[in-house]
Amino acid sequence: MQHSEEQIFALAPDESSKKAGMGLASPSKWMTRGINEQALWGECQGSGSKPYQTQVDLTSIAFKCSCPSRKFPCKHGLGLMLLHARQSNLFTESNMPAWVNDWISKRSEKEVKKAEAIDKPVDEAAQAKRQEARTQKVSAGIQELLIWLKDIIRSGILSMPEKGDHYWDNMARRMIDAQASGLATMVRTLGETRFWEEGWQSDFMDALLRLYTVAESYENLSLVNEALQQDILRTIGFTSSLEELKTQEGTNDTWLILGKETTAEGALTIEQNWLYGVQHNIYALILQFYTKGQPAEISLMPGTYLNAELVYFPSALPYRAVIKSHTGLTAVASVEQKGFADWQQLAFHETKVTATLPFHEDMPSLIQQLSPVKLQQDWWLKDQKGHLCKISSEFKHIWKLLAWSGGAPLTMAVIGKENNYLPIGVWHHNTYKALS
Amino acid sequence: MKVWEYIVNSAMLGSDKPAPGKPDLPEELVAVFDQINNIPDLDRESKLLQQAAIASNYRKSGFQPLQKDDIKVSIADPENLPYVGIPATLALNKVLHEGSFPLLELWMQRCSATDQLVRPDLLPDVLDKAEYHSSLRKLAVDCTGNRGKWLSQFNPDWDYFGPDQSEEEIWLNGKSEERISLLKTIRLTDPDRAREMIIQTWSQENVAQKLEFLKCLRQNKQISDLSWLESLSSEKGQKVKDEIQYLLREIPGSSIIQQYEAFLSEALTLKKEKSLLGMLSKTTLQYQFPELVNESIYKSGIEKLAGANSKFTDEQYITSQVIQYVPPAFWEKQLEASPEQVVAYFVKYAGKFVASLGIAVSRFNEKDWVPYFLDQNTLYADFLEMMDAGDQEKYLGKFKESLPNDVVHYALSRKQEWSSVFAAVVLKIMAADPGRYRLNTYKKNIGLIPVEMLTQLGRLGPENQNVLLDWENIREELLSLLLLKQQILQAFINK
Repeated sequence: MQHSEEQIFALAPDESSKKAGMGLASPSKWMTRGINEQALWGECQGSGSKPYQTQVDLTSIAFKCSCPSRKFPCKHGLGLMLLHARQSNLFTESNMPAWVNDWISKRSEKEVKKAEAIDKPVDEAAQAKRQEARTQKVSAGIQELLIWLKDIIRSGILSMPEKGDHYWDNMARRMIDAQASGLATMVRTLGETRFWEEGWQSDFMDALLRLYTVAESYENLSLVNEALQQDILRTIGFTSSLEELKTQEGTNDTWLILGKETTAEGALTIEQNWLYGVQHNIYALILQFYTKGQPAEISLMPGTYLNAELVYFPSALPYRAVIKSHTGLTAVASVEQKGFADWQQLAFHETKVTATLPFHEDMPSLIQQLSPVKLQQDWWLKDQKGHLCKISSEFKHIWKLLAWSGGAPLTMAVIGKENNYLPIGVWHHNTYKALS
Repeated sequence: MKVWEYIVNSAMLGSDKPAPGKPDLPEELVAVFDQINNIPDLDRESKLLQQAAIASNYRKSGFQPLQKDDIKVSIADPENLPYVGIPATLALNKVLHEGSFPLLELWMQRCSATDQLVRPDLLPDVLDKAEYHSSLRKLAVDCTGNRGKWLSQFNPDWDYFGPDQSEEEIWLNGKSEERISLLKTIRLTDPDRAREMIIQTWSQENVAQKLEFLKCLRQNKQISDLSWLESLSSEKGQKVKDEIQYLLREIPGSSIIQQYEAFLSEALTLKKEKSLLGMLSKTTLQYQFPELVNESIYKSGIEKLAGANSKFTDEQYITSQVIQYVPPAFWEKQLEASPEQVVAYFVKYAGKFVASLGIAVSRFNEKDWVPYFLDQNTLYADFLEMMDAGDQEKYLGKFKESLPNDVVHYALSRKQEWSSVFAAVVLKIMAADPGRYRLNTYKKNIGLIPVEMLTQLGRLGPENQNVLLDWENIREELLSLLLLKQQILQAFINK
């Protein structure tokens, strides 16, 4: 599977790695180069006496290199992939050398071990005890959170912009102590309201009410159905075993990686990947968590297609999922673009979604034939029926979007709600182009 | 008050204050709000929060997008030229990531010369670069086609596309930089028209604008400029006056130059001398500082004092300055000699003034005089502009041992790419001194270095082992840049 330079650059951890990687995308830098169905490898002469051994697992785009860099992927991994993207004829199809074979075999062994670990018997009594202790901690934390929320409402939200970081941090930390990491994130999000923008009060209230709804729902957990209970618990921060989830039957599809967003929380990197199942016309969110300097389990490149079986987390509105298995990235010549015909259709869909899961997060949607138009100082997306929704003020790629469109309508992937959407990709000449 | 507005207003005030009026509740919410209000023992904050949560979901569920049928969507005109191919796009992407201005300029020159267009993917990046580098703007307009022009209407930073204006409109109504650019262009091909344009609006221009326009006259100077420039004696701004003075000293026949010529006709004269009992005679050039000097030459910018460390006396210093501002043709008449003989007289009898004569040759662009200076040990840098590329390289090459850093300096000032032979000479000098010629120098001047050097860089390393590692680091980067340059050239080679 050939990757575009754009897709490879999307994997780079920073700008300097991109630049350094480009410098290494030259045949003269590589003493050996090889490829087969599973891996891409090469030996690059660095400043040391021995060449660096660089390898890429092509089935899940994972990297390994003998260089001392702590970046993932390192410049050698990027350079090797870029060189392959530019001059694939330079890579000889051959058997993997021992050093590549060892790594690829170890990766397969790990997968097997993970599967075996699931089969091990669990100490149910100990597990129940731990669960009970956690439930108590969360309940106590939520009680405090509700008091805090009521305090805000009692004294009025006008003073919120003046609250310092510590105000939000204190409560977020309290939620971490209560083992409710999901609520901690929501508290931080509340503190990150764009207080300098007109109408912040409405956005702030939406975020606050989402937090309140989740907290109150936990207090009334037994009153809602099983699937919704799972949503509530997961939103609060209860985790499920991914390996257990992977034992369940999933959805097989060709998944287009619509876009990704990476954020850092301390030493932890959180990667959100938005996927679109082209056969089922469904969406999925794949989250990956990794610490600085560690590689993600799988590198999902926006604009590429992955043949995979995904298992959705139990939910009233299945969205977050885990990759159970995949057969690697695949080339898709052209995809029939489904999605919504216009904004009105999306609004009806949003109504259903909100009724199903009132505190749902923003989800991606495909909408056909949107044209960017300027209305006063803002950019909007106009559908074929003359309906408009505003492009989010956080959108950074308006010029790229306009350059692709030239004023003509394009089918787009957007993420957002109500009147505010962030374009994350477009179909340009039948090719999906991520806006990142 | 709509229900969501009511909720936000209530939350702003706080639940311990009286509610801001009554909400205009939709029918579907009346019963729910009542139910919440009637929950016994529920505090006011909880009531507001619960009603707000309901109202928030109600608002989201009932959202309707804005309907505007009358908005016209502006659409870019279709392109008349093809987009560049994938190899050229890959090269451009790499150039943009590399941030190399000379390679971007090269790419755009090739793109424009082959009548092709930048693909939409990279169009905003190219327009952004041209925003910061004005020399790329014309190329950006050529390379981004109708899509670029369409896009520029939305971004004031890209206003360099500008409307299609006539020369007259630009001259009368354009921005200062547009007018100067127009004037420079016209001055090159029709110098008299450029001057007439300046005269047309001269009285309405401010001092800064006048100064900029006069500077445009430095190009392609004409004797026909004289009468107008001489008439500007009453101009008030000092900078404008200085520029007029500067121009008058550059145009043969001006009153200032006539004064200089009068001075020199007394200072340097030929004298025939007899020797060997009158059997032989020889002609010598004699120097005698005139007894009476017209004081006005000092007002024209000639300095009186040579300075403590000068090789000249004060009188010699004055003479040397005046020689620099007199057209060499004066000497042909004054000494009744050919250019070759004049130079020979100076070398033999007035060696201190040879360099000044050389400066005058370049100032008045007397190309015929140049060859008679080239055998001297002095590097006449100003002559380089009067030579073609091959002669420049040959001339500079003569000084590679005696003045290596000067050779590099002037080589880097060139506009055309070096020949590979000359590049090897220059790079050899640079490689020997990586402390002085750092990576940035190579990056800035990659346009001058031919890609043929890719195979030769390995042979140019310094003999001094102490600097070898520094050079090797530079060489690695230079190789990458040259490979990128090669990629650009190859991407356009068959177009």
